[in-house]
Parts: sequence; structure tokens; C-alpha cells
Amino acid sequence: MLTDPANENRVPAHWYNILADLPFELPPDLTPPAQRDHPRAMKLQLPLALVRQSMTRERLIPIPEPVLQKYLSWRPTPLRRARALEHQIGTRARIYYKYEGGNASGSHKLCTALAQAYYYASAGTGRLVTGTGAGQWGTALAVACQEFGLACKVYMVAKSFQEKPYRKTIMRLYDAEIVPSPDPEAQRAALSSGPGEVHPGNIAYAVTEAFSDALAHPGTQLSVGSGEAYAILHSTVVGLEAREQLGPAEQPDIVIGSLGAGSNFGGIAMPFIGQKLRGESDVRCVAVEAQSCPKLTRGQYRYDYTDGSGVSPLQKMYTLGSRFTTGGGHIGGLRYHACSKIISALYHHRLVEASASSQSDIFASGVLFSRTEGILPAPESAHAVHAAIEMAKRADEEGTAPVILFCLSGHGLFDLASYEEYLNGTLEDVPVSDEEIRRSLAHLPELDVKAAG
Amino acid sequence: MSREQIRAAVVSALLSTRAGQSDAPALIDDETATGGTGLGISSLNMLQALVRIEDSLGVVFDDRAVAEAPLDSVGDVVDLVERALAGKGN
Repeated sequence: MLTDPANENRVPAHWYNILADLPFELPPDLTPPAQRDHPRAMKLQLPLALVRQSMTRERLIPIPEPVLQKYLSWRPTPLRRARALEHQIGTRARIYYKYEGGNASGSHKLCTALAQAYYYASAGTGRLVTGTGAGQWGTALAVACQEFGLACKVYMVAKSFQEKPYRKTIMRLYDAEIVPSPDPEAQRAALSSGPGEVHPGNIAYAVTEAFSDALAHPGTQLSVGSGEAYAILHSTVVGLEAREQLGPAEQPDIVIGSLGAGSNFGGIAMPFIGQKLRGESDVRCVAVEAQSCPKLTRGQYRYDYTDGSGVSPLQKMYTLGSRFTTGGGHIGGLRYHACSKIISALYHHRLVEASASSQSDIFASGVLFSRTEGILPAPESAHAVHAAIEMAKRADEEGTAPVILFCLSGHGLFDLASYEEYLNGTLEDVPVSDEEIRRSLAHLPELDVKAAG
Repeated sequence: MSREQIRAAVVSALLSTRAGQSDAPALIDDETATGGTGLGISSLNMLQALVRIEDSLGVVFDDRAVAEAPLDSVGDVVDLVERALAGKGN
């Protein structure tokens, strides 16, 4: 731990690497067929340092000093007991939340954004491009790029681009360029040149557009912020801090995080999962996904693309298919089509649990949390709030009083339009039919049996 | 370490990243393309192979040197390793 002499706060000096404790091998990444057939100059998209971190079995990875110094500007983040919420729902459970909204980006995403910007800058990159859903990741990368002197362009899913104008403003404050994805100009051009289909936009498509940008511009690389092993690694400062702040006498029985692709849940849960894998605890770790994007609870454990380009690496993940598009709703960054290969493997081996929550339930819990604890959760974070409340009530019914820890990953001050809909009674659930999932999964790549493992 | 020994380590590392692909070309030399219709590996596979080379040869690549190096052929990768071993890429 590093102590900041100004306020005697303690911040972890390392990240926790779950690969050190995994009792199984992860399925290998595969080269997509389309890339094998097209000779093209090798253009690396990652600094080697990030790949080293994704492969090493070292348990603790030192945080570079420049990144650690940036962390100290807002870390350690508060760990609070939600006493008013406990009182309101009448539970005997002790509910703690780790609040990650108190930085310029408003979410936990800054943990990996700063680390990535540092490593890319160290490798000589001049410009980063990315895709973002609700805008939390795009904002975090914009902040981090400015910190480390990189240019930044963000492709933001068009629905969020329209609904969250002030997300764009804050990204522009940090000198990032923001465009909607799909690009309306390109869509209009495609339609005018012949019969075509307007892509409704999703995170995979936004990443695809960013990837095309990176390929077209020397000195530009693609940065992604959630499901990759290194993104989860960098986010483990959240769980490590929480464990330290709780102290040995108050370790959690249940750890909860919202699930988009993995950095939110992985950031809070990985240090605790590691303890479980080492036989040091019997903690339950629960990933909460959106009912309208249910990759763990209703997807399949298959090889799939990590974005919509058809040339990204194939990873074995719980997926709804890279063409899956949520039918609306306000689930923000949880609308990614698949789950990190590490968390997918943990779920496959029954080492973590998953649940899915409806939009109406999570907004009700978000409002309850705001009225009791005084922080308006981002819709993504409200999934964890809701699960914590539900698990506390269930424990009461079972006559137990567990310690519950969840990650309040970001504030909802850019999400007031969706809360407005909730208050007006116009917010509707967006269920996904089995047929929608089946249609999307039909586009998964066909692989050799040998490769699929 | 001779260039042949380095090439053998490089080829071994590159091939180790080709899980699930059809057989590699029978003849692999400096001219063999790393991507596309040669070994057919992706840029991510290339980086994974470089990490394995670091482990097997006890060398540490400089991130900037890796980012700036051409890596289109097996010979390019062997050159990178030679420079690192000679301390030029470190």
C-alpha cells in the first residue's frame, strides 16, 4: 500500500492478477478466419506491456509510479455502510458499498483508462480511438489521454449520443473528439448507393468503427475498456481497497458487481474470488446483468468475436452474438454482447454466480438508494444496488445476516433523462425473446471442433 | 545464440499461438509472412508470441521498439530478437 502524506490515505501499490490462482487453463484466443485469408501488414493494436499482464501468472503486478500518482488524486475511494438503506428495507444484513463515482469520469473506468493511456504513451502511441456505450468509458479515456498527452477520438453508440448530451460536453472538456456510431454520414452514403440496412448501433459496432479508424491512421491505436484481462486487472484496485477498508473482522459473505463485459464486476470481485480459490474464504460473488442483455444467464459459452468487425480475435465467452442489439432501454455500458473470457470461464466452472434484473426493478432500487444514501446511481450501478437489496431480503427470509459488499461503480448525473422517464411512469422493460437470441447466435463463427475446445 | 537458434525459438512461439488453425506451411524461413496467407496469425497472437519469446530466451523487449518494428515476416521477428539480445532494442 502507498500512503499519501497529504491525507494519509492508503492506495494499493499493485493490481491483483486472478490468473495466478485459476485452477484451470483459459481456452486460447483464435485468429478469425477472415484475417487468415487477407494478407495485410501486421499492425499491432496493443502495447506489449498489456499483453504481458494478460499472460503472466504473477499474483501481484506493481502499478507504475506515474499511474499510482494519478490514482492518488481520487483514491482511495469511500467504502460506506448503507445504514439508511438497511433501515429502510428492514434488513439484518450489513450492506457496504464502494463508491467509484468521485472522479472526473464519474465511474470506475478511470482505473484502467489511466493505466492504458500510460502504457500506450510509453510505447510511442500518439492517438487513441475507442467505442463507448453510455459514455463512461469514453469519458474515462478522454480524461486519461489528456493526462498522458494523447489525442483521443470516441465513437459513442448513437442512442446514448442523442440521450446524453452532457457526456459529450465533458469528453470535449478533455479535448476528445466525439462522433455518433454508426456514423450517420456513412450510413446515408451506404443507403444512397444501393439497398442496405441501417445498423442500429451497439458497443461492438462502435468498437468496429474505432478499429477501422486505427487501421487507417498511423500512430493511432484502439483502446478498449472492459472485458480484456488487463482492463479487469487494472480495476482490481477497487476490490483490494475495499478488502483493506473492511478489515479482517468484517469480510464480505457476498460480493456484487454489475456486469457489462467485466471490469466493473471483476474490479470489485477478483481479489475476493482469489481468496476463495486459495481456500481462504467461502465468499459468493454475483455478477448482475441487464435482463435485456443476458449473456451469462441466457447466452452460450462459445467462441465469438470481441467486436463487430469480423477480424477481431475469437475468444471463448458467454455471448449473445456480436450482432446482438438490445431493443432500447437504459442499460448503458451493460449492453455489450459478451462477457470477459476470464469471468466466462469462472462462471462456466461455477465459481461465480449470475443474475439478471429488469429495468423497472433497477430504477426502483436506484431511486430508493438515492433517497436513503444520497447518491444517484448510474443505471449500470443500480443493477448492483438492486441485487444487494434482493439478497439482503432473501437472507432475512433465511434467517441469516450476511455482510454484503457491492460496487457503486458510477453516479447517474448524466442519466437524468432515464430517471425522468421512470418518474413519469413511461419507462418500460425491454425483454429479449428466445427467438432474438437464437437469431443472433446463428451468426457465431463456425470453428473446427478441435479449435472450439 | 545463432540466428538459426533464434529462428527456431521464434517459429516455435509463433506456431504456439495458432490454436485451431490448419497445418502451418511445411517450409518456414525468414521470408515466410507472419500474417495473412503465411502463418496466418493475428496482431494479438504476434504479441502473445513475443511474450513467449521473452520467457524462452530470457530477453525483455522494449515496448516502443516492438511498436516501431516491422513484424510482417519471420525474419522481421528474428531481427527484433537479435536487436534485443544485442542490447540495441532494450
